Amino acid sequence: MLRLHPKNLFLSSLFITLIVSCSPSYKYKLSRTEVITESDIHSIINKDSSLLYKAKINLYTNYYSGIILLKQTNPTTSHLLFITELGMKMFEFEIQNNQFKLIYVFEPLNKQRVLEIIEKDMKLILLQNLVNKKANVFEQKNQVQHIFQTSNEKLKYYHFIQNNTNVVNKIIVKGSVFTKAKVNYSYNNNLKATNIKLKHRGIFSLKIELNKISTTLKP
Amino acid sequence: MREMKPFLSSLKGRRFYPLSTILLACMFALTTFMRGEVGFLSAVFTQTPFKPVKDTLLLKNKIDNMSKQTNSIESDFIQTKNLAMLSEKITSEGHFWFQKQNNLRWEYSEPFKYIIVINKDKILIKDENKVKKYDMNANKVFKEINDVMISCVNGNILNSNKFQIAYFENDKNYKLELTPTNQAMKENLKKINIYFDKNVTSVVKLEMVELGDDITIIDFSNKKLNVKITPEKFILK
Repeated sequence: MLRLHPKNLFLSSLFITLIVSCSPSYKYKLSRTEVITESDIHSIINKDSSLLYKAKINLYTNYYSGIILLKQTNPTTSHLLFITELGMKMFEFEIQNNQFKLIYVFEPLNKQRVLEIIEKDMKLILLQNLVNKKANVFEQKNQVQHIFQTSNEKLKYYHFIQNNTNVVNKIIVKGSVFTKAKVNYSYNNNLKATNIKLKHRGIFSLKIELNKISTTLKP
Repeated sequence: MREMKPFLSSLKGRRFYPLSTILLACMFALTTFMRGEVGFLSAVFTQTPFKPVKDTLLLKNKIDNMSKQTNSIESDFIQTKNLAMLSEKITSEGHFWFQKQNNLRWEYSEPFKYIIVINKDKILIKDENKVKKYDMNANKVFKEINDVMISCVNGNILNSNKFQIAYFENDKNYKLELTPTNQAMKENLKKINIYFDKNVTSVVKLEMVELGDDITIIDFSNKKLNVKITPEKFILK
């Protein structure tokens, strides 16, 4: 039996606080429904320059580390490249009109399920599933950020958008009961993502952490 | 549902050679060849075209002699990855230590911290604060790496059946062009080029050319030969 001890009281309060703060729609109210356009979202892929990240990927029981390069090669096409620290190319995707096309994969990673998971979560990280989607827009009282809520048959996606910059601060993907995935972003003053963390729960759990690297790209 | 095996253990029993394998092998190959003081020598390569070496036996003997006289090496390096398709270069740099018979520390310091240590029959990798340990003898590919390394240290790489080696020279440099003979290796790697100065005192550049013409280049500088290296360098915690 739980006695009303100050310590228990504190733990109970903390538990309640955690439950309340975990709700994505806390303090948010449904404002409207609209179709998301490119201008509603600050893109992760930079149109002017390449982006380089130190990548740590935990896929199921495997750990991979290396470098991820994001480069826009023309107005409609980008490339996502993952190489190891030693320079070995692991995979490369061409991204065109929000579609991923596999250009290269290192043989041990060439497994359908693995590629599906990588592609799916990279699309999530790079915000490739958002534009042209119909979304419920939730707004916050203090006007700091708003939420785009989109959904498909199985999942609901909550994108937390900074009001003044349109950068995505956080993504929560929810199933019918549990949270399936979370992505958190940090940005520098130029609104380039400096740190991206994804955590995907499930049988094939996936964790991705990207930390921006600077001054190592040369034309 | 298909089970994913750990990446490195998934290499067990498979006959392919990832570029990192080749790179590690080449690091040891370099320990065979490197000698003397060199700076950044990129400019050296704007030279006359390379032609086949006439007296390959003499060159092999010089390389063999260097191998026998080199017990330890310490050097800075700059690694540049040229991406053919994206016209992009990714540069990283660091320092490495080698001690005969089978100890190597390859440490990246910029733009990230990453260390690979080979200590006799163990391979250790430290990525930021995580250390992973792999047993060379429990993995056929690592065993293969080790065999290549030892043959490099012993100077037997020149007689290796894993590569077909062609010898070229111009007015200032020799170039060894190593073409893989194994079909599985050929699927990942087109060739390795090792450049060294005309007096065969040091390797000045290493190139690894992939099938898609992406190239990894490593330049060496500030080399120290046969200096004492503490055993702690080959331990990762």
